[in-house]
Amino acid sequence: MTITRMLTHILGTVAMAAVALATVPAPASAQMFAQPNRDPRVNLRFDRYYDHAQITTALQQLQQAYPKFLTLSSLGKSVEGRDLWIVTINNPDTGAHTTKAGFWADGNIHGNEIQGAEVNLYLIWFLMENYDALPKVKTLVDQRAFYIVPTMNPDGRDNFLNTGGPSRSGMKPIDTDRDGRLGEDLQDDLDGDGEIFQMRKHVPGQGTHVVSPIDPRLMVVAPAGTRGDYLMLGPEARDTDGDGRRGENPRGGYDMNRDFPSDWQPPHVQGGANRYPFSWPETRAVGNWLKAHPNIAAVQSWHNSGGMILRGPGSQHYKGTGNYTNRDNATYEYLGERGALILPFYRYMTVWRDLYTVYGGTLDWAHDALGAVAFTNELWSNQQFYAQAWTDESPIPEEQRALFFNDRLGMGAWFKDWAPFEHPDLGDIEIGGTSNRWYGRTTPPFMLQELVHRNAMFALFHADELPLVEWGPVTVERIAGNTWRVKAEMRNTRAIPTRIEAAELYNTGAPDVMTIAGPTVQAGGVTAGEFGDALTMQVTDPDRIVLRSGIAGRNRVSVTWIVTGTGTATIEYRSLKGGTHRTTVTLR
Amino acid sequence: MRAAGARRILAAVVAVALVGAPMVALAQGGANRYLNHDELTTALRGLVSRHGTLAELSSLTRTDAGRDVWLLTLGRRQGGADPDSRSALLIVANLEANHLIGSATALATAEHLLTSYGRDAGITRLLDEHTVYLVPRANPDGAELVWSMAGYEIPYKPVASDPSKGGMNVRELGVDLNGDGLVTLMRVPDPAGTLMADPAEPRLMREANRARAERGRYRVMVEGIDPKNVEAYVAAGTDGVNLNRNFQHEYLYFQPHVGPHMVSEVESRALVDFAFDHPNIAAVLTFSAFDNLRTPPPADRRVPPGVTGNPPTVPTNIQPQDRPYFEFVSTRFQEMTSLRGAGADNEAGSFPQFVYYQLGLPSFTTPVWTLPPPEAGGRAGGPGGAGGAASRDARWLAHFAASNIDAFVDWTPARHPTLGDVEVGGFEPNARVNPPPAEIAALAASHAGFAAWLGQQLPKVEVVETTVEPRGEEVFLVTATVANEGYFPTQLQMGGRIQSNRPITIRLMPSTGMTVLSGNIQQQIPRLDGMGGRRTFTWLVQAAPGTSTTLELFAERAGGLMSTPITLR
Repeated sequence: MTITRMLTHILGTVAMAAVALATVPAPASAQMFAQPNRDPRVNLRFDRYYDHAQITTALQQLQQAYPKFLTLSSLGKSVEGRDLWIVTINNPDTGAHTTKAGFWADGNIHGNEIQGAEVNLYLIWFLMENYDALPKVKTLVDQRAFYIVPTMNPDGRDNFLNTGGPSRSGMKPIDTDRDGRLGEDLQDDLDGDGEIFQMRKHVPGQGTHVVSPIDPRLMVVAPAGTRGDYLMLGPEARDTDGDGRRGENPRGGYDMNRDFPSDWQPPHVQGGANRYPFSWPETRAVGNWLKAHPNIAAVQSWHNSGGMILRGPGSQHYKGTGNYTNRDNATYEYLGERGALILPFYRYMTVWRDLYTVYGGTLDWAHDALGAVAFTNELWSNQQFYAQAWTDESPIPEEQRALFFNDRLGMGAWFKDWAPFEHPDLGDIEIGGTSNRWYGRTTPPFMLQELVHRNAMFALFHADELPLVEWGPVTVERIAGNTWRVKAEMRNTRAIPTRIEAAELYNTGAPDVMTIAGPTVQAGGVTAGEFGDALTMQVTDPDRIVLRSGIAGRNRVSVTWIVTGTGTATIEYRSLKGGTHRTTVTLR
Repeated sequence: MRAAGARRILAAVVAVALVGAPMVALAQGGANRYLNHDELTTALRGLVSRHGTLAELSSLTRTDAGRDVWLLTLGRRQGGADPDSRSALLIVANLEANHLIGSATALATAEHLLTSYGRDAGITRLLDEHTVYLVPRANPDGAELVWSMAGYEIPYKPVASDPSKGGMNVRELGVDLNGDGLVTLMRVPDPAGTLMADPAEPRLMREANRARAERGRYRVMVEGIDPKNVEAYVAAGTDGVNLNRNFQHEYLYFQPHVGPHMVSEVESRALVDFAFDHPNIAAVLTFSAFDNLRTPPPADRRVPPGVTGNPPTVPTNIQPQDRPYFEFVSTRFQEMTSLRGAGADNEAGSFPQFVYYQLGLPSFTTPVWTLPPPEAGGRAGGPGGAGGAASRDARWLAHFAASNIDAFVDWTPARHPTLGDVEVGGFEPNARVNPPPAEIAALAASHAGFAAWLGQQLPKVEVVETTVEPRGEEVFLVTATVANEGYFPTQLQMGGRIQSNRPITIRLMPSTGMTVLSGNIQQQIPRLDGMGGRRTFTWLVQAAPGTSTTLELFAERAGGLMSTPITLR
């Protein structure tokens, strides 16, 4: 399908969808998850992938179906001019989104790691469709603000979905071959089958590879000391710049997940980094939004693949220790270890220790600068095809595994048989091989539904453990005459502290405060003493007690004031991530 | 003589308003005062209108307050000559908000180069064969605080969120308690204080040494400040930004005045983008608080405190093969300016460091004016230090006295609203940053001379000789010798280490009927030494006698793309 025809088709779909929504009365309450014999209000499928235009349509449908809760807006434009959509989910009846602990999810910053967008779509869809049916969902939507960016890299996503081309990067042309020209020697779908496969040339006795004795579709390196019959010529491409290399300067070639300003390093240390952090329109737009919403307490990024729940730090040199603080580690461990139960085949891991070193990744910036608890899930693992570990005893040899799955689970969908092609520069060649697009890092449709649900549930577990504060006992006790001891306790009923230790260490964001207004404040401070009958005095501004550590997970903080006066006292607790809470007591 | 502190500048503003002809002195070639943004803009426009064929003024970016960060491009343009294709010197000044001597010197440098063109052979060649990019005031919003917040010493760019306080976080700012127009220090009598007046120099305060039976009597803080505000919480990245701490190398994460993150400001981003977008830049001179010219950078530099997270692959020192270049340039600087002194303190996150460590270019910096070095040996037991050599402040006092500069406000009693009786005094704001206006002209002239010399040291690569030698019928051996006649190599060792330069590339361009028998049309070398460093390339070609072609030479930071015709006969 040509691009123009495809756009017409998509636009047609949008128009039809709008009409359908306007004319078909929606069911009074969608309950498809609790009662899976019913249809949802917005009929999205999760056994397929969505390109940018289709994501746009789906988000517009959701927004039209749930206008009270959903706000769809654009963070900015990608390099190629696509909107960077962000969906805000909030119940306005329970307060503005900025007053609630915020949960952020982004996906697909690497263009070829596509499932993240589907997880995010599912997350939005699930929360909306089940709001009325499931009290747990209702509570989450009422208590939290969700900020969801389905795809951070719509350009790379569309390039991957439409061509299977190399698109971890964004699509800005850069001079990867250092010849002073930009994007001049691209990979190219030569045979026009809609995907870039591999090229091989038959050169009997002159090559490097031979056909595998196990399976004639497989190519293996010729045994040592012998010559092969084939040359492997890489992905489909021509040598358009005449430098003897083919497809060596694709558009892009950079890594937007090395573009965040914590523990950032230049390209000679960290491959894929650019001039400085937030140097791409996509990362800059996301960074600006995150900086402007200090209520965000959780950052979840979806990547692929390998089956990992990753946390920072990204580098063994981070702050000279290669680790977060003990207090923060405990929070991560609580969430990560339970997450691994929600997500079979996923392991809870630290980036540098268990994967590889990353400078300038999202995780460390979210943790250090935003004071947010941040995870990156590497979605999907090929291990999931086969419910047991692959061993030497398996009846299928390791090398044939992909083809076995292709034949027996994919019915041939993931391998293109080698077919002759007349290459303008290379003469008679063959094109074929494993699909880079649909096999490997991409979950097959029949397993996608489970993937998006389990990961969305991990996100909701994380969102549910964001700080949630409520008043404990607030007491007034006469000391003498009109002098009173006022004691106020604030409780955090969830696992994540209102202020992680990194925020306290690096002074990021304002600390929590507890204030009292009304009577004259003679002294104030955090309650102390074995029986809570003493206080650690704060000498300056005793009416405004600063709680630098916030309130720890499933813990409480008590403040004591000695005041003189009559009437009432208004006590307020203010926290960037814990919200603002006010109560009034009578001095008597 | 009055110091160039706030009092002097206020007086100048009044005088200008009365006289109404602020540009006269500058137009005549003698800078004798500091210029605010509008005056600097007028001066730059004047330069361009007088030297239109050699100078172009453009805006690198607009600041939060809407001021242009001006870029002056100096170099020949006649006959379609493109300054962006020639190897270039970039000069940047006034990154620290109050470093006005830097912008005055940069402006004087531009004027010196333009007025010497056609008169001085070296400068004429510089502007013919090279380009000088000049950013005289990288921080116009910050510099304007010298006037709008007169009386304060503010090296920071204001933060947009707090315009009522000049963009400074409140704890930075004091109040002019004694009404002298200046915010200096106040000393508060306090039996718990640890400071005492220095017996050797009673104007200066120092820590009492209890082991020597000394007793502290004072606390010292900014004049007029409310101690409550001093203790108020300031979140990282929400205070004023020192632009010269906002760059990528050895960035001091979450420290005061470094910005919310590296390259967070429009000004720093515009500078970095300009530097990357102009790969013809071959050397950079920065007028800033740091210094590697009065004293060359130390051989065994220690990583500044507060720098964390760097793996061992991040360089921390001038590379061994680069050091002699830094030493030579420093020697020439000292000869030309007669200035000597101590080197930089802690240049973490500064622009000059970014230029060397992440662009791989020769990067020089000087504050133009600062404290002269201590006398040889130092005076043991001098004022300021408890028994040691004279402190920096004591040396400043001595320097001011020797130069007849009045820059210290003597301690005088004042009444603080919450602290009661205090004394106010100390160095006049900015007095230790900028020299008195009368000293500008001489300092600017000597530094302009150095800048002009530095521009003439840029690498310059050319094809200096070609030969064509028949080797049988229709076969020719073509040779081309390429030489760098500049002083600097085309790439420092650091540039090679971080891969910041594209290689020098020479191509024998294809021509109809010509075949290159030796295989490669294109040959590359990573670098070429200066001072005549050369390399000869050969091609064996087959072609009909009389065939013409061209040699194409590309030297990114040493002349750009050049062609030489070749005829095979």
